[in-house]
Amino acid sequence: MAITKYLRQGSKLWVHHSGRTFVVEAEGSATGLITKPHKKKTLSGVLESPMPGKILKINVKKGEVVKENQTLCVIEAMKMEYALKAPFDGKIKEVFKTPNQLVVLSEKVLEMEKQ
Amino acid sequence: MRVGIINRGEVAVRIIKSCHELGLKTVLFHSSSDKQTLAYELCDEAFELKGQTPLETYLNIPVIIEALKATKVDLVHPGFGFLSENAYFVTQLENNKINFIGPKATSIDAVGNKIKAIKLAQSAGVPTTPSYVGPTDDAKKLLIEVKKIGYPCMVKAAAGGGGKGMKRVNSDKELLEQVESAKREAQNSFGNNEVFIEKIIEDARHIEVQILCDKFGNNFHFYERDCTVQRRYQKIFEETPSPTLKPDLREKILDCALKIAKAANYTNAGTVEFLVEPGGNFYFMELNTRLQVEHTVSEMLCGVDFIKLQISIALGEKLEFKQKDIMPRGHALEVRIYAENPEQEFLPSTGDILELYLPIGPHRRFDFGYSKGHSVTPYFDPMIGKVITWAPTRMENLKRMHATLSELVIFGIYTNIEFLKSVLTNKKFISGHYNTHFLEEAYASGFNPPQLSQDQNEFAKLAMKNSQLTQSVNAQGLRYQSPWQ
Repeated sequence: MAITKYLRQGSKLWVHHSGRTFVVEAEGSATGLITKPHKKKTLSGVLESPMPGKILKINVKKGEVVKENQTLCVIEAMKMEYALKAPFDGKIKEVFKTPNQLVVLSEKVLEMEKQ
Repeated sequence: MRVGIINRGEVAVRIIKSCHELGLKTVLFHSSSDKQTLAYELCDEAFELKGQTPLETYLNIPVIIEALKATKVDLVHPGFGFLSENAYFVTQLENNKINFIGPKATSIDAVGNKIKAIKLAQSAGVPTTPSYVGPTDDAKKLLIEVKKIGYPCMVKAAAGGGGKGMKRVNSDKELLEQVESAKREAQNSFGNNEVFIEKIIEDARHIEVQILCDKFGNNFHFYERDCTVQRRYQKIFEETPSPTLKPDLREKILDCALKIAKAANYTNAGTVEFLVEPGGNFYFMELNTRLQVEHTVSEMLCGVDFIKLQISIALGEKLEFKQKDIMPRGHALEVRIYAENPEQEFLPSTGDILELYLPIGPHRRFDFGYSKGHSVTPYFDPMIGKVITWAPTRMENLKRMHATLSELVIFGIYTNIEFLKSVLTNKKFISGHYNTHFLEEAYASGFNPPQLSQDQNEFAKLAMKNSQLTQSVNAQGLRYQSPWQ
């Protein structure tokens, strides 16, 4: 028999079976974990922290006009830097965070709007 | 004797094990957030460096020096990263008569800084890559100088390592932003923001040579390691011997590594890194003046314990063997287990380790810094451990590693295990013929793990039921996720 294990964590179940670890989640559960938060196409223009970490730099101010792919903010976690880039040409509607602030996963950092 | 360890994670555990075999007591200097780790549990004494960020803790030289004196430490092992290549720190130790397990401050200064290392290699007659090593403050001058090297090029931290403070630049538009970002990462990771720019050799393998030098001028190499499989300049797979290096080229590279050691008047453990082009041209990249993460494969290949040898050298003992006594045997492979999500751009994953099962078996080695119940915090590197296997041949070893990873169980944090297994079964990887861009090309559209099997599906349903997770399941039944969603 191969190694078989499972463990419940809230609404989530960690499973190891037939040589592989995977996660199963109950559909519609109230405490369901947010999945793929940063793969979501940011149509609303809300930019969220893709990971827990520290805001290193915010390059823009409220009202500033930005171009697609422009680096708006730099977040640091585990000694690596990640840039949050503008998903489209537009204007900065709101800046929610300041440099050196700690963020958890999926916290609002900036909001953009199309002009 | 008492050995102070200023590090964390699996390397701290690795050092403690060798010290205990030698009958030496260990004192672990750790950050406030690192109490829930294996090293903290295994050390003989612990000293808390108050704070959580690297600068407050593992890089805080004045606090560390005072703590070393207060705890009466005789020898200091820095592990890798942090203060392992900091000449100022080693000078402070020398001034306080504390023995550093590593090279002299002057050697670190001569080669630990990559800019000086390039100059040293040139003086020793070892080939180097085209680079710009001048000041980076003047934007105009920088743009002109980098244009001479040509794009794409790489901004590197002079004090760097481990992929930190390294930024690729494809055109002059990106140059200034990337230089600035590399400087910040360098400052945060190494406490030094000096950077230089180097031409990227696109079609190359990353080959490095492990060296060990005593204080009597006896310099040895322990053959090469092939670290060509990288992602964002961070190594993931390391193996020895290299699957493609021809014997005559290997001899030339090993010889150049020893030339560098001699020119630097080097002592203790070091690694000489080279880029090797398919045609056989090779370039010196850097000399890392520390034990490296992947030292384990050379240990498996040659049957040695580098930590013990490092301690011997630090104590002024002579290495009583000859180069011909160092016999490579079979094939050794290391993979790094990262707490990260390969399906979501490899972003770090943090949390509590709810399960950690290390599947014992022949020629399998597990170097881990955590066990079940510990937590992975966002303050440090996402590497949580390494798996190393050995076998008589490469093919047999790839299968052994695959089997080992299939039995390794980690719950609570997402890991790159399924990704590693995918690489192990990749035809190009198996063939041995690839360059440092292999992963970018093979996974250009990201990584998608295979579908779950019927067995796995059925087992999951049963496990859900047993865990009382059924009441909220809707008519469609379960929604399955890969481990990284």
